Amino acid sequence: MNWNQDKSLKLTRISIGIFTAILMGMCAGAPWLYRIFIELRAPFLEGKLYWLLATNYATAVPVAAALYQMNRLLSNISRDEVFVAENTRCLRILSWCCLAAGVIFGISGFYYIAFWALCVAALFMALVLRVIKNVFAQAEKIKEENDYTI
Amino acid sequence: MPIVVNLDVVMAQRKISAGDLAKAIDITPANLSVLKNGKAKAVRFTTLEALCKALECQPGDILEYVSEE
Repeated sequence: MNWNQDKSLKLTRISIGIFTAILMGMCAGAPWLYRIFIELRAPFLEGKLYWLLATNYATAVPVAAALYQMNRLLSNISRDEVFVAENTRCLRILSWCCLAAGVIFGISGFYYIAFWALCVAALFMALVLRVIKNVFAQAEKIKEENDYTI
Repeated sequence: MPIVVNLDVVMAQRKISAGDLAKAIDITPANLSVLKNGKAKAVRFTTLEALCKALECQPGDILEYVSEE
């Protein structure tokens, strides 16, 4: 198969669509899903349904925001607008979304310790995005200088 | 910026239009406009050379240093 940038962007767009569907499914079916999960994990999560639901819906907000920002980022990239201020802003918001999710998982870890693993993963992701955001900010400056070199 | 581009003055003296000059030095009219309006961050030696050749002048006629103090 002849792979190119357009196909790669399309694949990423499809992935974002799949994750959006998963998020919507998790929000709509959360009570049912967590009841099954609690039964599987009994007796560790006995009576923790509302805590799990709170974690789920609280995390859904930064995840939805992150998916929206990723879609914006991809729209800009597909228009060949890569090193622009808006993309740097998108990456900064994405980093903050990961940090918010990390904080929520960190707090949730006090009632179910496995959330701390997700907390560390989300915080690490926030750090990676922060570094990429810094690279984009620098690249934006270099591009501007290059654009205004006649 | 303390570097002032006097390109419009030299162009007026030589009676050459922006379009003709852009064509002569092989840059786009948009880029020439950036240069003329002092928005450029840097000028390539090749561009400067082409400008001097087309306008029959020295780099000092186009660029001038004005102290900010």
